[in-house]
Amino acid sequence: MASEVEETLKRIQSHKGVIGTIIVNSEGIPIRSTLENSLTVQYSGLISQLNDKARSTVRDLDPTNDLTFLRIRSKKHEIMVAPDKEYLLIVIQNPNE
Amino acid sequence: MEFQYVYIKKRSEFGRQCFFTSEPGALSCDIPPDPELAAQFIHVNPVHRGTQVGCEMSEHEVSTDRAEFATTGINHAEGGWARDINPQDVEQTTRFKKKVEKDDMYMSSVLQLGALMEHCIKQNNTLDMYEEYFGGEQDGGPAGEGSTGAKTVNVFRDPCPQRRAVSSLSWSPDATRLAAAYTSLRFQSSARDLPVQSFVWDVENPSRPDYTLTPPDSLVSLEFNPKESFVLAGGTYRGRVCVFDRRRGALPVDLSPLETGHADPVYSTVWVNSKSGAEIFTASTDGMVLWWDTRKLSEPIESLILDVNKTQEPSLRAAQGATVLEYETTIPTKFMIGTEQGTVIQCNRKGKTQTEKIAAVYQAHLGPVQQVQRNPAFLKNFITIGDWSAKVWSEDCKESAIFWTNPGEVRLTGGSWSPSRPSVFFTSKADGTVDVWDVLYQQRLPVLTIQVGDSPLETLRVQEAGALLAAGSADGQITLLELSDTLVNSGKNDRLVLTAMFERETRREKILEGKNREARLLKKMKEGNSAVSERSSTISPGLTASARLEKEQTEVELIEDAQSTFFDTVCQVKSARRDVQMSQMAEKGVVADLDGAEFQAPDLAAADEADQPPDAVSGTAVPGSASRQSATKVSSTTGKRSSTIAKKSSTSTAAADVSSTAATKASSTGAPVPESETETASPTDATETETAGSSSLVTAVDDPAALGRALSVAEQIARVVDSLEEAVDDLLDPTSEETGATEDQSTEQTES
Repeated sequence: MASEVEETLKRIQSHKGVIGTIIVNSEGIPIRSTLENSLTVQYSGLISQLNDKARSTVRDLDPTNDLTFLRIRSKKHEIMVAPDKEYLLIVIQNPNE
Repeated sequence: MEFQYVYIKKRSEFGRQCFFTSEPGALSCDIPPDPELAAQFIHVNPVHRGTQVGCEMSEHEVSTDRAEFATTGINHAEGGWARDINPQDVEQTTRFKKKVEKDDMYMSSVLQLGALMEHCIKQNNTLDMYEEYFGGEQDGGPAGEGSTGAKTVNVFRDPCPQRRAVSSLSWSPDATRLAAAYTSLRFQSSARDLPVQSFVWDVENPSRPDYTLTPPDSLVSLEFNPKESFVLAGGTYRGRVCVFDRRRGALPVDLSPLETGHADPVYSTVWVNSKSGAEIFTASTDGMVLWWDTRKLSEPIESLILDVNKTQEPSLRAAQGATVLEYETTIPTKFMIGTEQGTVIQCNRKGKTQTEKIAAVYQAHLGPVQQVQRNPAFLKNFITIGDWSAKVWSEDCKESAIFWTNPGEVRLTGGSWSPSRPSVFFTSKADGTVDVWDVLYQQRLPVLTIQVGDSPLETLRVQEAGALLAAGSADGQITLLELSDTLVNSGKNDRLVLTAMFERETRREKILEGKNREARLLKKMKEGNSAVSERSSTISPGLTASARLEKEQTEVELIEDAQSTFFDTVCQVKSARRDVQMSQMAEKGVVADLDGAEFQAPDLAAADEADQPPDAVSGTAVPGSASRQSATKVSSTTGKRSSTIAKKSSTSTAAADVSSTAATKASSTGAPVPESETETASPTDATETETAGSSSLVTAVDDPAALGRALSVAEQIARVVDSLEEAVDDLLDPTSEETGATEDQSTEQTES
C-alpha cells in the first residue's frame, strides 16, 4: 500500500509540465512536498484556506453538493487541487511547457 | 457577555388604531361618454416635450461624502500544528509527517486523489483548452483606426482642503506608485501658508495616499529613483533639493541648504545614470543646472550656467532660465534643457569649456518650453512642447523643427512620447484635455482628444509600459487613464515607416536650411557685387549693363546668355585670327604653329561640352533623387540647378583656357584646368575673382548652396568675354599688340 502511494506520486511528478506536488492535511500542514520549504508552506497555507472557502461556497449554494476539484488557471501555470475529507493534493503544472 | 438592547415606544405614538371592515360595492358616480366631445377633438401635430417624473424641489442635496476603504488582511503561513509539536523543530515535524504517512486513510485518499489528479494533468497535456487562436494579430493597425480610446481608471484628489496644482508626476519603477508634487506656482500667490505636503499614491487606491512627503516648503519637482522605488528626489519652491526615503519617514533624509541651492523654484529634477545610482541634477529658472550627490547634499558637485553667449565669460545675468531637463540614460553625457526663453539647449556634460558644454541651441518656441523629450526609439529625434504647438526635431537640423502640430487655440502645458509606440505622443492642454497624436496616421489633427477635467492640466506622465497615463491638473486632481491597445502596441512596420519619415523630413529640412543659407549668401554677394560693378564701370560700361541685366534674369537664362556670347566671341576670335593669320602669313609665315595650337581651344571647349552635356549631368542627379523616393520638389530643382552649374563649370574652364590663349598665345592651351599663370596674363581685373570662382565651381557641383557663387562666375564669364573682345581688338591691330603679347608671355614665363 505504501509503495503504491509512492508510485502514484512519482508518476504524477513525472508527467509533462508538472512543477510540484504537495499533500496537505486538513490543518494546512504539508505532509509531503517536492517543492522547497518556504514555497511549500506558502502554498499549503493559502491553498488550504482557498479550498475551505471554495468548499463552503459550494455547500452554501446547495447543501447536498460538494467540491470535488479546484483548478486555478494563472498566467504562469495551473494550480490543481484535489480535496478529500482529510487531505489535499496540490499539483502545480505549467501546461504550456 | 451578553448584550441587551431595549427599545421602547409608547402606544400613543403609534397613532389611532385601524379598523378594517368589508362593505359591498356601491356606485357613487356615472358619467356616460359624450359624442359631442369626440367631435370637438382636434389632432395636434406631434410635439416632443420633455417631462420630468421626479417632483421639483427648491433645494437638492446629495450625500457626497466619500466612502473610504482600506484593505487589511493577515497571511496565515504555517498550518495549524498540534499543540505538542513545535513547527520550528524539524525533528518533531518530520516525525509527525512520518506518522501521518503511515495512516491508512492517508494512503487511500492519496491513491484516490492521485487518479483524479492524473486525469487532469493528462487533460492539460493533451489539450490546451485556453489556447488563443487569433492572438498576436491584433496589433498593427494605425492608432486612428478601430477602438482607439482611453478610459479613466482612477482619480486622485489632493486630500488637503486648499487647492494646489499638481506640478510634477513620477511613476515608480514597478508602476505601482505614482508620486505627485503639489505646489502653487502663481507668482506671489496670496496663500503662502498652503500645506507643503506632497503625496505618493498607490495606483489601485485613490481614497488615501500611500504615504506622505513633508518637505520644508512645497515641492515643485519630484522624481522616483529609477532603481530603488523607496527613494525619491525633489526640488522645492525655494530652490532647495531634498531626498526622501520611504523607509525613513515623511521628512526628507537630506536637504540642501538654501545658500547652495537654486535661487528660483527647482523646475526639474532628474536622476543621473551613475555608478553610485545616487546622483541627480536639477535645473531652475535662475539659469543654473546643478549636479548633486544625494548622499551629501550640502553643496552641488558640479554646476553649469546656461549662458549661450559664447563670446564672454558665462554670467548669471545673461543666463536663460531652465524649465525642463531631458536626460536619456543611454546617452549619459548628453542632456537637453528647455528654457523660459523658448530655446532648447543641448549640452554635453563632459565638455571642459563653456563652448564645449553648450553644444547646440535650438530656437523652439515663443514661450517657455514645457517639455523636451527624446523619442525612445529614435534618440536623434526629440519633441518640444511649448506655447501652442508641439514640434518634432532632428538633432541635425538646428534651424527648424522637422514637423510640428498646427498651433491650437489652447496653450499646451506638457506632453510625452509613448514609450511603447514610437509614433504616438501625448500633449496636455490648458483646457483640461489630453490630445493623442500619431504622426504616422495624421499630423494635422490629433487622433484622439480626451476631456480629463474642467480645470487646466499642468503636467502629464506616461508609465514606462505605455498603457497608463497620469495627468495632473491645476486644482490638484490626478487622473489616471488607461489607453487602448491600439495606442500602446506598436505595429510591425511602424518602426520602418517612422524611420523613413524622420529621415525624409530631416532631409527636406536640411535642403531648406541650405536654401536659406544660400539666399543669405546671395544677399551678401549682391551687396558685395554692387561695389565691384561700380569699380569696374570705369573700365567697361558694358559690364554694368550686364550686372543690371543679371538682376532681372534668372540664373539659368544668364548662363545660357553668357554661353552664347562666349561662343559667338570665340567664333569672332576664330575668324579674326584667320584674317590676321592670312595677313601675317602673307607678311611673315611664322605664327602658323601658334595658330594651330589655338584652333584646338574652341574644339576642346566643344569636346568638353559634348562630354558633359546637360542630360548627362542631370542624368546623374535625377536617378539619385529618384532613388530617394520621397525626395521633395525642392531637391529635384536643386538637382537641376547643380546640373546647370556643372555645365557651366565645363564651359568656364574652357573659357579660361581660351582667354589665356587669346591673351598670351602660349602653346600650352590644351591644359584643361585654369592655372594661376594664365590668370596673370588675363587683362582685366576680374582675374582675382576668377580663381575663386572657377575653383569653387568644382565644389559647386556637389553643393547646391554655392549657387550664389555660381552667379558670380556667370558674371566672370561675361568679363572673360569682354577680355576676349579686347584681345580680338588687339589682334586686329597686329603690329602694335604683337610686342605687347610677347611681353606678356615673357612675364608669364618668369612667373612660372
